[in-house]
Amino acid sequence: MSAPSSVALRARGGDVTTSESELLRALHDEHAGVLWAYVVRLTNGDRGRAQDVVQETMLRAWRNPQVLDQSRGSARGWLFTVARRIVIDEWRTTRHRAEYVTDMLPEVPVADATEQVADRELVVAALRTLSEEHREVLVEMYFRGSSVAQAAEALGVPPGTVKSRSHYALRALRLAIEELGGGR
Amino acid sequence: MTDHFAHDDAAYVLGALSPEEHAAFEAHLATCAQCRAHVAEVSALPGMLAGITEADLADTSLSSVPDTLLPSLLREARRRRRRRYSIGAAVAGVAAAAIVALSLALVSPGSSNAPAHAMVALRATPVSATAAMKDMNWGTRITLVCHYSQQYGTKSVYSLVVVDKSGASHAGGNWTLTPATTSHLEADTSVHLSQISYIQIVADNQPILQLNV
Repeated sequence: MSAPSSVALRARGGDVTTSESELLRALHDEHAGVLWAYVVRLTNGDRGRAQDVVQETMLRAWRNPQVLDQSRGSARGWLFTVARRIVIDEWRTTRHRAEYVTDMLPEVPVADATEQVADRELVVAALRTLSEEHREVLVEMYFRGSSVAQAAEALGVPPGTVKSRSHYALRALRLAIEELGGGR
Repeated sequence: MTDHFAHDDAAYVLGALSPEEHAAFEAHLATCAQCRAHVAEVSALPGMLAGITEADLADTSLSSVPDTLLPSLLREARRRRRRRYSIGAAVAGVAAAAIVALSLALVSPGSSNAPAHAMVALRATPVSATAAMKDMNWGTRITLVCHYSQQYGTKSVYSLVVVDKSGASHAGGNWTLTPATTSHLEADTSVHLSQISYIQIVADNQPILQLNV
């Protein structure tokens, strides 16, 4: 088995071993930034809750070290998927309590909305991982509604460059979304 | 000379081509399978961007990871680990991090009275298996009947993995299968049947068979 040595160490008992704290440190250094930005937006800027969610997600990865045996992309997708479930399950629990008290509307549309919010935030997180060049060409052409000619002027590059940059930017975005476990 | 239109797909799906270019590109699409394929690769993306604003991307005020995260992670890992050894597998539930030792033992055929289900192959494999899972007051007893169908080949080592509903996996024992034999195995896990999401048989780090609960 190519599983990290920490698995065997953990099974033997005692305190958290050096290799395990290294595993948590590596997880933190590699993924905390991207995961944090995603989760803090899912919790509407509640940093306390976001920290709980990111921490629980990383502890689950620590308990499943085979997650980290995979490529960086798969590990990140796993973390995003787990964090998303934790947040959505909390939303549902909270809403369920609210319904119990206030006898509110049927739950299906609300449930769909939460999944949609999480999908959208995943795309935001993916956009943040793009290179500046790729992000700015998409901002011009999609968010600002610029034509190729207008984007070329705004960015100070020839129209042909705008076309090829946006061609690669959309592909990079698609890959980034897939890497975070979205787009399926 | 490369296709003059080869990079127009993105501007096309983002609606950024001039009316003339738009018309010319659509005419070209009628004759160029590669450009059609390019458009198909990215055509879902504008829909995925819907609802996002430029302000969402600029929202960096909240994006710095708190300094307290890593120390808190290490502390919590230490705490859970201690709890694991003081309370051990008696702790159930999503956050419990129960460490589970699966003990595998060869058993005589027909010792299980839970219904056996065929495990589903996840890749081409000479191994087939049925699994019966029975909830016990201490967890779940899993009875496997593995058959190695090939008349040739070498012995291989297999292992059983139990994945609970929180996504945590509990790696179990290993066993060896010899070609053209059937093995009866029993594995005990402290994860209760209602908490098991699926079980897998793994060979060479690759899951080969799976049964969802």
